[in-house]
Order: sequence, then structure tokens, then C-alpha cells
Amino acid sequence: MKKAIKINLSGIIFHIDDDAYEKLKTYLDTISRHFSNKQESKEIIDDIEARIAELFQERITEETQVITLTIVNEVIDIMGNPEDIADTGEEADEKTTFHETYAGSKRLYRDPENSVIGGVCGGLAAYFAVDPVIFRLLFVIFFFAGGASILVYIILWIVLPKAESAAQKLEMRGEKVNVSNLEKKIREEYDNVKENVKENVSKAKENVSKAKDSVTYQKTERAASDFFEVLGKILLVFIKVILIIIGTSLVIAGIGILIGIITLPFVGIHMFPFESYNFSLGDLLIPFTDPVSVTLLVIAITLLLLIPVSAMIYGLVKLIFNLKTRNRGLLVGAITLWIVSLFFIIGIVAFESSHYSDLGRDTLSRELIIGSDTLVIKVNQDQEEYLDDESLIDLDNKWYLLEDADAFYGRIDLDIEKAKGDEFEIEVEKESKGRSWDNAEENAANINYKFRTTDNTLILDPYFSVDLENKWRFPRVETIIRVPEGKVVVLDRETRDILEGVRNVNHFSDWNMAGKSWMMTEEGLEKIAE
Amino acid sequence: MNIENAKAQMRKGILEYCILSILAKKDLYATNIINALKENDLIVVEGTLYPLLTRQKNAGLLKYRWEESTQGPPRKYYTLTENGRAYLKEMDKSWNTLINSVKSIKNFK
Repeated sequence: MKKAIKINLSGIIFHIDDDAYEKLKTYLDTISRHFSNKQESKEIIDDIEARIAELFQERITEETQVITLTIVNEVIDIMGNPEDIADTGEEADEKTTFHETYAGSKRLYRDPENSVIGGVCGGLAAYFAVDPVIFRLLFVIFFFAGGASILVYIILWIVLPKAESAAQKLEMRGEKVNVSNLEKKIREEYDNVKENVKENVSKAKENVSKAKDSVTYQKTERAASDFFEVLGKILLVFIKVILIIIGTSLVIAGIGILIGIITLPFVGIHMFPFESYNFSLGDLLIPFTDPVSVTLLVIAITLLLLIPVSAMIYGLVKLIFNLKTRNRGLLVGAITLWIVSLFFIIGIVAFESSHYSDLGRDTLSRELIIGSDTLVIKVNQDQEEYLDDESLIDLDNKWYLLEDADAFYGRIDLDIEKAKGDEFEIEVEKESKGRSWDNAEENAANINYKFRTTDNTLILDPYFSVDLENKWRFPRVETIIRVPEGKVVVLDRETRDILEGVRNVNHFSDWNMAGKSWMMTEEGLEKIAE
Repeated sequence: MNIENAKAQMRKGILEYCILSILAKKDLYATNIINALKENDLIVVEGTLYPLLTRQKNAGLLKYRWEESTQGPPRKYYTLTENGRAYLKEMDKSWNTLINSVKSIKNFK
């Protein structure tokens, strides 16, 4: 079964097969485009059509009422190929370089084979012989930049003709319209048509079985299907536009994330809990690991995040712009790199965490001979001020790291207990992690912590420090003041920040204990009434 | 040099002259002209004739009139204009000169 079309050739009606019609139309179109003078071209085509009509008539018999592709091919053979026809015509002019000038002539069309919405970008790209993606990106970028491009697109969509015939498609790309090119194109198109026909035939079969013999039913069904087809097309374009906008937003967001990931290790981030200071990932890791590990880790983490995000953006772009690229090497490479990064991170973390496997202590304990029954505890204001001036990272109010400081600093904990003897005692318990017990103990001993006494006053540094060349192995310093029964301790107001879980009879919180005087009784510390 | 190409070039050059010569004797429509040219191996494909006819008509050498046909579409019967006849006369002259020139060249020793 074949679809036949009725055509009017020089005033005579012919029935012509669909494929034969396409071929003939392409042939005539190609010839007409060979002539620069439109008026002349029309006249020549009319003459040629008249001759073709004559030739067709000679070939129609009682048995064959329809013009087939064979007949069209035969007639085209008689008439000659478009170049020969044009050649004789143009010869009268001085246009000997006819082919060259023609090869350069291009026209803007919309490319239906390479379309996302209307094929405008595809056509533009074909005209300028570049990838359509470039124009699509430009349109999208300008859409987001101001929105004017959508108007431009619609105008172009309306103004530009669709490249339908093979000759038009060649012209769109500026390929020379000669027989071999045409043949190539027509063959491509023929294959397309064949597939479509197959589909249509199977559809038609379904329809026929449904429609039975009712012609009117078929007609209405066809009208309805036409209507819905148009409606569906409009809807499809609409959905496509929306999807493209969403997709492009996602791509832009993704690119933002990408830039973030790439710059994270180098540029500071404003992030809770470091609200007021810029610390890069590298800065944050430096206290814990050596610079080489930090660099490797930063690279590995960057890759680990970068690869999937890039892949998602790539996939999205492919989806939006209907790209059909397949690059196995890239895919395998990316996955390999990602896995290597993952193992690298695991390796570095495992290696670095071995530095924290054991806990060591270094304890100093001594009596405070002050010759008084009252001990006043104050905080070294110089250090407090010095550290306040510097930019601090406040993590859980527990430890502090200094940016560009002379050391890593951490806040101490102060506890007050009952002494066994009759003298005030101070105990400084330094604690640190290390890769072994010995190493941990060494790390603990390397923690710097100072206090001093003048008369009956004990002045405590609120922070301990770790030298920059030693790493931060989760050090902790707890200072315990032991107060003999019946003696008094006066807590300066400033101690409120370092007091940590001090038990007292009055059940005062650490915060409230500071700034008051306390007597050690049998039950524990008791507030002295003022 | 391609011999077929050279032949084609030669044919093309004299085609215009031949069309005018054919029409000098009788008013004809395109298919008649084609048949005459084909018989004498002057054209291979028919399509080449039409641009030439149109051009000659536009140059004022030819004019045409429509005639109904019993089978097929109406036909354009071409005839020479006054200009065409004068032009053909000139062409005849130069053709004869050319033939003689070629002959004498061939006999050149």
C-alpha cells in the first residue's frame, strides 16, 4: 500500500506516489534555486514542468494510472541533472565560476532534524557551521541576562522557513547542491521516510480495524486526531520550554556549586560556626595534619565532589539540548579518578587518625604556699585581651584556634575540690592524644600552660597553647584547685568562662559562682554571705 | 582534459546557434526542437534546452505564442523575431568563417 498525491502539472492532474512526489519536488526546487533571476527561473521551471507533464502523459497507460518513482527517475534522466540545466542557462553570462559562487551561497532555515523547540538554533548553527549548542547556550544566557532572546527566538521561528526539501537542507549548510550531495541527502531522507511510513502503516492498520467501514467515522477521527496532534505539539513545545528553563537553572546552580567546590580550599568561607572569619578548608585542617596531607586531602575532596557535580551538569546539558555524544573514555576516567580520590581520602584519614589512637597525660601538682586562709583566683587579663584581639574560631566554646597566631590556643577547665591536707594545692592535668602512649604523653608534656601567684592571689592563664610545629591532638588542660576545709576561695568575676562543673552546696551554676567568695565546708563549697 | 567535457563544451557553444537555425525554417515548440537536436546528437538531456530558450526570448531573439494541444498541456510555439533573424545572419557569417578557419588550420603544413 502506498500513499498517492494529486498534483497539478501545467494544468494537468496527475496521481503520483508519495516518494515519487518528494523526488520530483526536490528536483524542481533544486533547479529553480540554480537560477539567480527569479522571473527567469519561474519561466524555465514552467517550461520544464510542461515537458515533464508531457512525458508523464506518454507513460500513463490503462494499467498504470499513477506516476511512480521509477517514472520520475526516468523523466529526470531525460531532463538531465540540475547542474547541467543550470550550466547552459548561466553560460550566456560571464559567470564561469558558477559552482563556486553557488557553493558559498547559504540561506538561513530552521533545522527540523536538529531542533529542541523550533530548530532555530539548529538552523543558525548550520548556517555558521558550528555546533548548535553554542547558539542554544547563547539564547539561554541572554534569556537569563534579560529575557530578550526569547522574543528574538520567536521572531526567528516565525520568519525563518523550515528546511524541508533535501535541497533546502543542503542550502542551509551551504553544501554544494550537486547530484551526489543531493543523492546522499535524499537517501538519508528516504530512510527516514521509510521508518515513518512503517510507523504510519502500523498505525493505519490499527485505525482500520477500529474504524471498520465507516468513512465518516474515519474522517471525524482524522480531524480529531489532527486537532489533538496540533494541541499536543503546542503542549509539547510549552513543556519543553519549561523544562529547558528549569534545566538551565539547575545547570547554572550546578556551575555555582562547581565554582564553590573549586574555590573552597583556597578562598575563605563564611560558615557557621565561624561566622565572622574567613577560614578555608585548608586552614581548618592545618592544625590537625601536616601540609602535605592537607594538600592531598583538599585535592581528593575537591575531586570527590567535583566529579559527580560535573557529571550531573553534563548529563543535564545533554538532556536539555538533546545531545547524543558518548565518550566512554571520559566516563571510565572520571569514575576511576573518583574512586582513587575516595581511597585517597580514606587512606589519609586513616593515617591521620592514627595520630589520635592513644591518650597520654602529664600532671603537675603542687602546694600553694600563700600564708593566708583566703585564696583569690583571678584570670590573666593580658592573655584574654591578646586573644580577644585576634581572630578566633569558637568551636563549642571549648577550644580555640588562632588564625595567623603564634600558637594554637585552647580554653582550660577550672575545677575546685576539697584538699586533703591543710594547704591550698594546684594540679594542672594536661592531656593529649597521640599515635602511641609515649607519643601522647610527649604531646601532653608539650602543652604550654602558665599560672603565677602574688601574695594570696593565684593568676591563671585562661588558655593553654600548643606550638605551631606541634599538631593539635585534641589537647585538654584541667586545672584543679584544692581548698582545705575551713579556708576561703574568692573567685574573680572573670573566672566564669573557665569554671567547669564546680560542685557547691548552694547548687550555683559556674556562671553564678564567679565573683563570689566560697568557704570549703565538710559538705563542700558554701557561699559566704556578704 | 576530459574528452566528454570538451565535447560538451563544444556542443554548448553551438547549441544556441542551432536553436536559431532550426527555428528559422519553422515555428516549433520545445519538444520539436528537442527532437531535432537529439536526432543530431546535439543534446543529451532535455532540460538543458529550456534555460536557453528563455534566455534567447528575453534577449529579444525569440518570441512565442500559445497553442492548445489535443493531448497534454498547451504548447509554446517559438518563432524568430526581426532581431533574431539579423542575429542569425551574423552567426551564419561567423560560423562559415570559423569552419573555413578550422579547415585551413587542419590543412596547415
